[in-house]
Amino acid sequence: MSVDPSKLKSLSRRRLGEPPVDGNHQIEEPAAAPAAAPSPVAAPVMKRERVDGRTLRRTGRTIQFATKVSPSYDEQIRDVAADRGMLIVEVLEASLAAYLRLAAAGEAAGETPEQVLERLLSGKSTKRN
Amino acid sequence: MAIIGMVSQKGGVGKSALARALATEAARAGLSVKVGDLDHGQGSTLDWHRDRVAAGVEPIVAVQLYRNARDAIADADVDLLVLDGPARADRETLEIAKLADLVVQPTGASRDDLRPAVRAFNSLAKGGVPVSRLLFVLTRIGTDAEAEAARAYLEEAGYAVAPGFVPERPAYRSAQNEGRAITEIRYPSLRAGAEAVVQSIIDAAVAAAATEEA
Repeated sequence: MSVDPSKLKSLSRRRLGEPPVDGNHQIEEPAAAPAAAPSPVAAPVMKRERVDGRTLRRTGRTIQFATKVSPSYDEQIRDVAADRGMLIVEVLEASLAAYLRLAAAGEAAGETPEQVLERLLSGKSTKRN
Repeated sequence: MAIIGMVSQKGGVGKSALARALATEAARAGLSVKVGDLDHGQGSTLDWHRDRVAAGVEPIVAVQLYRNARDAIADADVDLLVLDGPARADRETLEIAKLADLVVQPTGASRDDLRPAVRAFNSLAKGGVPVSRLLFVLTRIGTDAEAEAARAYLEEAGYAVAPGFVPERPAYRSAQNEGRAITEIRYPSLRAGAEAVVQSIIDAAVAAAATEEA
């Protein structure tokens, strides 16, 4: 009797799991409807929230992010963004990415988060020995 | 007029690369052809067209920006209209799919690529687009095994997958940077791979039309 290994191929068919049977809600819903499910970090909706154009456009893909900064920081980050044609949020995202990378390197070398912060704010890019 | 639409929720999967290659090969064969670039926010295929003209690459492939598929169809009087959709899946995707003879969705082979791709086609089918008009094309593929697993996944979901695949190669990007299509790449094996995929899209469009006539 000859061996037919081709059936073994069926074992690999599920390597990626089962394909979804549901659809894409952005295609199926009218364009004016909110485009995404409420974000788990969205603020709880008040019962008597006023509905206006902004609330109807709300999709939950972004949330409000506010903090207080010094006037000079405000001026500097806006200048950085404007000079490079970037959004302020892009400068913030890049800053966070750069911080995480530098902090990981510092912490791997034994620095505390406070030492990392002091080093970065003092303008030194490498750990002092 | 034959209409072939390229759709995908994701950017960078090869919608424009396939649209350009299909239009280029149709133009080379003597068909009148136009690419309707529906990504009016980016207009990357229009930019590619300008690069192509500037580099003097023949044949010239007509490209025009449109706000939506209906405008493109109303304006085009050609043998083949290729609709290069925007990188999103929404009501406009359904519009493109309903108007096209064939809807091509390029997809990579990861779960992150495949799951939303299947959901998009599920929605088009639910929205009334015949499944016979929906075709997946595997792109940015690393290995034959990766392609085989992705093909099995998509076929299990009930959709046709074009034979062959477009491998992940920087040379394809370089060719397009120079205003060329991926079927105009200098490396023979990569060119043959791209040509086979484009041919399979043409074959699928013909087969889909025959299915609907029957």
